Amino acid sequence: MILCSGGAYAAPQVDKYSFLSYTVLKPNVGVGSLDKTNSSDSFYVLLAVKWSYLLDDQLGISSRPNGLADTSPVSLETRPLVYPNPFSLSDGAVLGYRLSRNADVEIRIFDIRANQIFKQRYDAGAYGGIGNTYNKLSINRSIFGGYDLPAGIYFFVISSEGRVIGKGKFAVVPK
Amino acid sequence: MGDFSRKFLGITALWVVMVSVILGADYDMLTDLGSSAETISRGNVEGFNFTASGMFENPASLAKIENASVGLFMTTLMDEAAYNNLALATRTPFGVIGFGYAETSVVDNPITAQDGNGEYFVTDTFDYRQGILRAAYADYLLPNICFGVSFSQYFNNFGNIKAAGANFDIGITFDRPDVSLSGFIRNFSPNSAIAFDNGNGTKSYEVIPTEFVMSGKWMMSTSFTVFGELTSRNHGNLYAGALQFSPNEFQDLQINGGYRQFYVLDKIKGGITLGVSLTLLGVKASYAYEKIEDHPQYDSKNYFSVSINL
Repeated sequence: MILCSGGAYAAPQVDKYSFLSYTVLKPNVGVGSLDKTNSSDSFYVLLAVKWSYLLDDQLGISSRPNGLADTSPVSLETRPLVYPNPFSLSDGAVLGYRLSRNADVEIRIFDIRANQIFKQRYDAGAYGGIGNTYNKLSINRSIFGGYDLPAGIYFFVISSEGRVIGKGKFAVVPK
Repeated sequence: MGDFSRKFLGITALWVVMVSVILGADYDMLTDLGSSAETISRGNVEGFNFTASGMFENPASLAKIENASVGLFMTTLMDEAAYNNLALATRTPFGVIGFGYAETSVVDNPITAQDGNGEYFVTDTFDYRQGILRAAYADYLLPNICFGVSFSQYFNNFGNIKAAGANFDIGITFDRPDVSLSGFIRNFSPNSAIAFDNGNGTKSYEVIPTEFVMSGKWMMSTSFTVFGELTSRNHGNLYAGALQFSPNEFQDLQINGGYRQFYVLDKIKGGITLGVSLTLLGVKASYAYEKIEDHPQYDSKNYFSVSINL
């Protein structure tokens, strides 16, 4: 998709596909062609491309060329929640969250004494790491190795790229 | 073998068999965290806390309170789970009696529902509380042997889900000039359960685990004391040990370092504990530190306790 928004610095038209030419609105210059090898132009090129991808992500369009990753910080677009809550492990529950984009994600669960009892990594674009989709992960006895958790409160932490992007808690009651 | 001996052996054998057939999930014991910063800093080796807070450990240790004692303990883990306890004990003509309350709470837990798109949202919140109400009694059997017993009323509250159960601990301590030994059974009555009323007419149960806790303390010198403990629970053993240093010139200061093992699910893990206690004007203030493993946001547990022995 071609980005059609701008401001003082940016550029309504960017050819992301060929990467051979860029048309960018530069301040005090107006519309003109940019040379991506020119250091003075590179800032506007990157800015325009980045904004273009952000708009694509919002519209759910995948037009990013192979090999060029979205470097915007990943975030959660909704509060991560477990449903139902409280629940018994034999019935199970589901952790739901929506990522701003595809990202490697790590989920950890801690007991009430801050001991880690579960850790799982989900790859970007795969189950658990899909952007713009409501990811749903099962919480049941099997993820704890068949162990029956005692009734109580447990805490989950969602992290990505070395940052905590969300956390929450859930309650387990016996069956 | 006398009549009494046969009866005693029979009752003991029956009790051991009952303990060995524990079924179902174990209730999460609030006391697993520890009940005073001083004890936690010593690897949570229990039985040598001679303040009112000792009732959450070996109840026999209360016998060493001369007049009266108050103990207070607090910590918050991960900015969410608040642990607090308060204990009071006083000597009477019949021995030392004490009362205590320990609680952990987590507030604002979401109650969730699902919308038409399959996404979840919060409909309400509830507060979680888990507590122990405890009454204890202890006294000297002999000049160097103390005996104690405590009764515990356990409860949980998850909004409209409520749980309750009861059990009792018994303990004994033995003292020599440089060595002290402690032994107690936590939740002496085997297979007793916490009954959960699920709020919809159904009930479920968790077993209150029985623990055997044996510990020792050896005063190597006026400055150094060594502690060790063996806890047996669910056919597994947990070990703990600690070293305490008190400068000769200032015995009111104690610097502690220890190691303790604990269960995480059904696996045994271990960790270092550190801490310091300072007694001034009869008030003992203690701090303990323990590292949190693997949490991306929090790296330590910090415990605080204050006690006054009159």
